[in-house]
Amino acid sequence: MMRAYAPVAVAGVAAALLPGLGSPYVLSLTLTCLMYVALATSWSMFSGATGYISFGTAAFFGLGAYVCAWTLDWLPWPVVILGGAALAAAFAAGTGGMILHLRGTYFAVLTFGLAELVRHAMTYGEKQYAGTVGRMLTEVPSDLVVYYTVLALAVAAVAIAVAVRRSRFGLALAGIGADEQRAETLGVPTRRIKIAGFTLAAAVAGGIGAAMAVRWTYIEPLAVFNPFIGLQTVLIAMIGGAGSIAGPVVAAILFSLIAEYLRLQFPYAYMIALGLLLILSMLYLPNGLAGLWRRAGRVNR
Amino acid sequence: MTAPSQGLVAERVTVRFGGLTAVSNVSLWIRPGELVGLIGPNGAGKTTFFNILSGTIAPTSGTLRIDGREFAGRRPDHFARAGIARTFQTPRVFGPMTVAENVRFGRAFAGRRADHNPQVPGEVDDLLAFVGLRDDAEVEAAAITPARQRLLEIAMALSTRPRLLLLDEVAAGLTEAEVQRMAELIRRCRDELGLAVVWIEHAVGVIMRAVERVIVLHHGELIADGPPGEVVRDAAVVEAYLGAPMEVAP
Repeated sequence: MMRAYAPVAVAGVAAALLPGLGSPYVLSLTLTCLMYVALATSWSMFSGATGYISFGTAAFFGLGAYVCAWTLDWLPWPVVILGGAALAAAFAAGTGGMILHLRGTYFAVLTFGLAELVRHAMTYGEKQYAGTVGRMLTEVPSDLVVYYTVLALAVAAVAIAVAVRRSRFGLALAGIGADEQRAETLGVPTRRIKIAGFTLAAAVAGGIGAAMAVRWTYIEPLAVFNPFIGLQTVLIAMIGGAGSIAGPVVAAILFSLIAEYLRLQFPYAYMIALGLLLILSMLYLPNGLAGLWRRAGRVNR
Repeated sequence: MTAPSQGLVAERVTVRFGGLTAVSNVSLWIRPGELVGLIGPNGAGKTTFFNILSGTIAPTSGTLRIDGREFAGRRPDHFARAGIARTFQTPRVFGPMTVAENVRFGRAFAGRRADHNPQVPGEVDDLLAFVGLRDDAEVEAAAITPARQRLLEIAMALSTRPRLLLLDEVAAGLTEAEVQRMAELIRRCRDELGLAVVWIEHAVGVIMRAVERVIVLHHGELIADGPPGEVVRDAAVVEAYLGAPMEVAP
């Protein structure tokens, strides 16, 4: 178990030292990797454990981004990040209470719709009250500050995932994933546990959204509520193996690097190649990279 | 019946699914430490009634009190924490977890506090030994035989340290010898752990020999409630359950 975390820790230290060594391009690429590490890890913590597949990450990410746009000028940077996390968490807690009794496909489709709903609501609200849909971010923190913020969030996401897995809360989530009704008859307050897990995952996505918002100088609903953010989060977690912690971390890094390479080398075939990659991994790696790793370990022994 | 303060009391419990009345106006009282059999033909409402007693479904009307507190409409985890444990007709174990982990689960939630039944052991090992699964502790639950999964389900139910154990056809599909061992285990749950047990079973013979009191449901209604010796002679039971009076050779 500990051995699996070692490469993750090494990657974290390497990422921390990177700004002194890497070029701005490498730094920006690493930032994308870290963003998906945080999103996929927190997603797996809830959806991987319980089987409640959420495509709603974009909603939480976008809400965090808008909190940043609203408050960046008058609040200190850490408060902006926490504010993004808080709004996303509050939204998840409220909607979670309404939709977490749905299972399987229904829940998945609804979370997808949720992200779209929030996007349109934001467009409407901004038009009504601010008179504009987009917002310019003028005074943004330095690249270095953003980098370390996202790194801290990625480290926090992994730490939360590890802590949850070892806790009674994590056991309750696993029980819900294995057989929700059975878990309930054994004393798990499933409703509260599901809302708590959904909310915790949303908080991380909201924090990431707030931090990444400053990378764009112009914020608008289509960009920050992009459904691809939710889709990619699910894909990465699945490719890595949503039941493990190291799997999604490794997959986030690999996926971001491969996506970048494909985008540069084959700008037109890029999405096709990513789609093929996904199909192949679903067909041949049902438990993701983590499953491959475990199988290799069994063969070596 | 004067309203008792101990045990589980159902009064005029009714469950309707759309136009179908699955359980109709059932009143009964399960006293602490009682060993009760619940029988009835297919579709009599036995499992639906269990679902009400464990909170899995809420009654359409009627009251359900546990030690004097009203529980109708509460969620299953409240029932579990109030000392009511159940098994399911088809074993519902956590397949990917080991046998020991399955038992540890209930211990970590409803069984965390021993105040409802300190007679039930708190150690996972002791619970596994009680049902006879100690040798399978580290095996994946999905990999053991269905007969053993039934034993595991009982250990899981016991891990919540209950006072009332609801068993839904735990002897179905077992061999004759296994059925005898199961009946023995159920009796030990009552004698050694001080549990009240309600046991649904299709095999009437097994139930009649094992329990002190039999409840008979038919078309969702309670048609008999008494000692096995009396119930088998009850005209309504013979009519409903066996279809026709048993032929007696001249």
